Amino acid sequence: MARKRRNGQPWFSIRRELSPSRQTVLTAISFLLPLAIWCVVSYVPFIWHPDIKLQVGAGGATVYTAGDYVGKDFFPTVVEQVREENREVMAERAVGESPPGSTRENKKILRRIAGVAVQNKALGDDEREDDAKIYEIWKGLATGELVFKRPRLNEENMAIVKANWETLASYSPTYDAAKFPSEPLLKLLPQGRPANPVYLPAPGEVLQAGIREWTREPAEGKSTMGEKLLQSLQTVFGGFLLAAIFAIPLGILAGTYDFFGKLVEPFVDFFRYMPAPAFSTLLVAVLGAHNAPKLALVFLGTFPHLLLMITKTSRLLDPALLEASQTLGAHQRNMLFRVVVPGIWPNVYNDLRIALGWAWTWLVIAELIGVKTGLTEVIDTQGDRRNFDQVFPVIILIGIIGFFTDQILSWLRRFLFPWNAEAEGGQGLIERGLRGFGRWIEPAMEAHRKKPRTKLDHENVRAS
Amino acid sequence: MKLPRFLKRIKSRHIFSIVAAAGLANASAEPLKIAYSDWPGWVAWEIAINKGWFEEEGVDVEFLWFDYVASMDAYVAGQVDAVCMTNGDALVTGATGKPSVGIIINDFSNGNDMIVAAPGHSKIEDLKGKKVGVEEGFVCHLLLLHGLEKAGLSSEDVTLVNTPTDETAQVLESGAVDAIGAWQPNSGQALKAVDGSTAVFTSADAPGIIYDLLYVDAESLSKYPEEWAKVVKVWYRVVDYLKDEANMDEALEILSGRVEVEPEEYEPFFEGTYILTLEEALERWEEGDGLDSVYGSSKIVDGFNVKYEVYESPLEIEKYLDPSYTKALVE
Amino acid sequence: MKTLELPDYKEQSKEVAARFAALRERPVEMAVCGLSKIFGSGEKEVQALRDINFDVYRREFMCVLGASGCGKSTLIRILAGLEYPTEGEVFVEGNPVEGPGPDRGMVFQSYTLFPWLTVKRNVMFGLQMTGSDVTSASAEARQWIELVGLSKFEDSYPHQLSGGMKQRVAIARALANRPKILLMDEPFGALDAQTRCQMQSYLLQIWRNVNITVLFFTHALDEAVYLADRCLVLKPSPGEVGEMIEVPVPRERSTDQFLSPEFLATKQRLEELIHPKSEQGDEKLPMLRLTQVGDDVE
Repeated sequence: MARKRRNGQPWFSIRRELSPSRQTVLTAISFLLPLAIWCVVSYVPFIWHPDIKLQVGAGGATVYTAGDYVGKDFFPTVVEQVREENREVMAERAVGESPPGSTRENKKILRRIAGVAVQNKALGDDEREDDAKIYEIWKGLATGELVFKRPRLNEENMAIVKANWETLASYSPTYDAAKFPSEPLLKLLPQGRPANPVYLPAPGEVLQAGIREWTREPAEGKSTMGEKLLQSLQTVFGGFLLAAIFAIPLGILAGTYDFFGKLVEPFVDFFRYMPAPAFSTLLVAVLGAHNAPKLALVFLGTFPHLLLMITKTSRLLDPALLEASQTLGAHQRNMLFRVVVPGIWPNVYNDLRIALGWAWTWLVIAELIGVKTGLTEVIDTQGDRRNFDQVFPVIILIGIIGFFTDQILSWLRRFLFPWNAEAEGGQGLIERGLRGFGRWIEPAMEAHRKKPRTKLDHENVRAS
Repeated sequence: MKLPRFLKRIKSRHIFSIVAAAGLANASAEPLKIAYSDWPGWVAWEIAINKGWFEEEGVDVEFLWFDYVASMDAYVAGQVDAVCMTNGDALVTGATGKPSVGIIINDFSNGNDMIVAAPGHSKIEDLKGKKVGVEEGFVCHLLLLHGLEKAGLSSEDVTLVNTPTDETAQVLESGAVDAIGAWQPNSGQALKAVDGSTAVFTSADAPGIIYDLLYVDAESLSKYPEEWAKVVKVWYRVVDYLKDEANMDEALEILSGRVEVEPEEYEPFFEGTYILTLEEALERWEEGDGLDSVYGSSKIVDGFNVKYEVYESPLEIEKYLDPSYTKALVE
Repeated sequence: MKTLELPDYKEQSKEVAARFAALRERPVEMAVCGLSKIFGSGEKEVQALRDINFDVYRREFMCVLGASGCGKSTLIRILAGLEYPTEGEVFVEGNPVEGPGPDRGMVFQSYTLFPWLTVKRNVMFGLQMTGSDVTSASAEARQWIELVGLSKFEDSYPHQLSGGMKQRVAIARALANRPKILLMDEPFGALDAQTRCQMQSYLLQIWRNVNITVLFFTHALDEAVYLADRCLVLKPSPGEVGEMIEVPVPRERSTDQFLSPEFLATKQRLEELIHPKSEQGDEKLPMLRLTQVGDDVE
């Protein structure tokens, strides 16, 4: 008796396709694996983590704010600087001098607790500059009415809280702008937790930053993330459409008529080696500083390659089809519009999909020229300010949009070109997903159609 | 320039520039276009934009946000009527591209421009024989030269590495150079990125070496003098507002909103910029040879530029400066 | 070894002789006069065809036969107007051929159906090219599809059809234009033996029912004898007319005739013309014995 093969086929088999369910599993893993590595590196404390991410900032020569990163080895130096400043204040107080200070400086010192307070949910995210509320927090901490747990303040800082409250309470037990002290208060010492370098924020931080940036009201006159996305989409698709509008007819002509081919191809072939960004200053000078030069840059980056691809695609059309059409009485115009164009259209569609991918890669450069716009403005500005937790969501978003646009376009193929279905194996994620869905509802469908399958001609229809 | 119709539509739908609509009568059909960039003294314009003071004054302006170098490119290309630059860069832009006339002194740099050195260098003399990354021909190049001369060195004593200002922090961090020259926020980023790095020379060590002004195209200035006068008037409303400490939080909110960072993060940048009141500005407009006069400062910069072959021959400083608009406010 | 005694292929029964007499009385549908074709120039010059002359009579079924490389494809392409002769001319009903045209329908070995059109649209293509409106072209196309027995598939796309079905569509498409001559370039070459056989009898049926002259190019001897009134044999390098053979097998043809003496005699003659004896000897392959083979097996 033949041994029953339970798993059908092995996982490793040269050039054999795995079963759809296994393909789905592996697709999921291909996304989950990098994510898992990212999580492990970010959340397992003893792996890497060479820096300290500050929860309480520090003044001094270099102004560290909460959220800044300091090397583990350098962190004690930063703390010591603040201690030194506090010692000076204490020394001056001891000799009874009334050293110069300002109420604004003091308010800033008190506000330094805001970060930790927000994390402990003692303060709203938009109340970081609400001096009255912050005054209450200092009071609560000093009197023990309020306790910070995650993160907690270390003992040295609790001592500073109490010392400062003593000073504050001597002026006024509640916040009163008129009675706010100007004599220097003590500064909280920097406090933080181990973290990876600023370049690699943890997934949770990225998610939080993403949600925060996408839901917050922008400053007046500034655009929301949604509007920025729209700008970027306009640039990508605008430039891409322009390229397509010119490249498709020209490419088809160049691939069909040797006259146009020889006229257009050599120069375009030369031109495509010139890096499009090199034209950016010129484009701004000619087209202004707004969207026009950006579209033009995407266009310049996409058009020459697309044109050459479509030219090649046009040449790939089986010449026998043209001859057949001639023996059926077709002349030049009909050969072009009734044979060449429909014949190469699915391949042109594929070329366009590839070109759309290029358009996305040009986006980042295009949005930097002239007036910075769109998602790139966020990437560039926040990147300069090392707020990479805000940069990551944008980069990921661009990836997701590009990926899904392509998947959808690939899936649409079968509806646009039903006659060409066999050419595309249908390996797209969405397609596979839909097929999975199909398998799931199949039994239900089967129950409905009781009709037996009709037998076709003796020359059976090839399975499509 | 003819554009396809749909392109025009996209163009007209941009939402990233702020167009302050004209009040009543405006001599120019087009708004005055002003390029500005990420410097606290210039981001301060945002307050006037935000509060609608241009409309109140009845002048139609459009502020366009650029990278600093790109803003000067846009001015040279004729895309804008005015640009915010330092007095030194105005001379370089004038000598190599397109001259301009400074009508407002916004501020002088009071510490924001820095030469940041990697650990192990505590003063500028320590940079002798080392590599320094600066954007050549621009303001921090000048600051470096000035610092070196003050310390008895010259440009021969360091090796310059031409580095875009917004990449200086990464370049210092990579160890490819021993020091960089940059202004905020890049200089602060460099300090934070490299633990133990120090600012060995800043504009606070030479206050007045870098003045920040509004430079206008001479043609636009002669065509629309009343409009530009109104712009100057609006600026001093901004200054009065900023000088009141009670407004500080609101001001920081507006300024940091423009560059999308937290106000707390922005405050140090603002402190390294000395915004000049009308009275202080008038003093700086007086002709003189020292750094406390914008003329003196420009002359010194002009000397540097010629000496270090940024351009060939000295420029006529007076043509680049026009104090009359500021002076008109007190008459 | 005993071999079958075959009659002379030139012997014709009375009936067949009368058919050929009648055939020769018919008007000439296509006249080929002094065709030569030279490819390339100078040292690379290759003569593909030399001085080809023959006439095809109206409603005749003629096969053009030749080994591969004898210039068959060049000839059919010139007849179709897809290629120009270096010398000589082709006339269809007395008019010289200037290029491809709907008066000469063509069926290619590679089907050449338009993959983006349904069966019906494929058949309508030529009609629309020659000025029919959609409604009449559609009605006309239906008739032709019915003739080749594919009514059920008129809305299918070519990739859903088998090779034989594709070729039937191609025939319907060519015929729909009502050409005077149907040129067929090894149309069944890519089909399996069984389908090929079916297609041959289909074709004969169609030919009987449709007013058409057929010029059928092939390298298969059986096929040629089975289908043709006359076989034109091309000699290779350069392609020249070897012999015009009147096939002595009576109509109507059936597969039963494959073993009739006249069939075999004709086939033998064709064999001699296409694969001369002397050449066959030269092509013997060396036989190496690589394994030990027991004598008892041999």
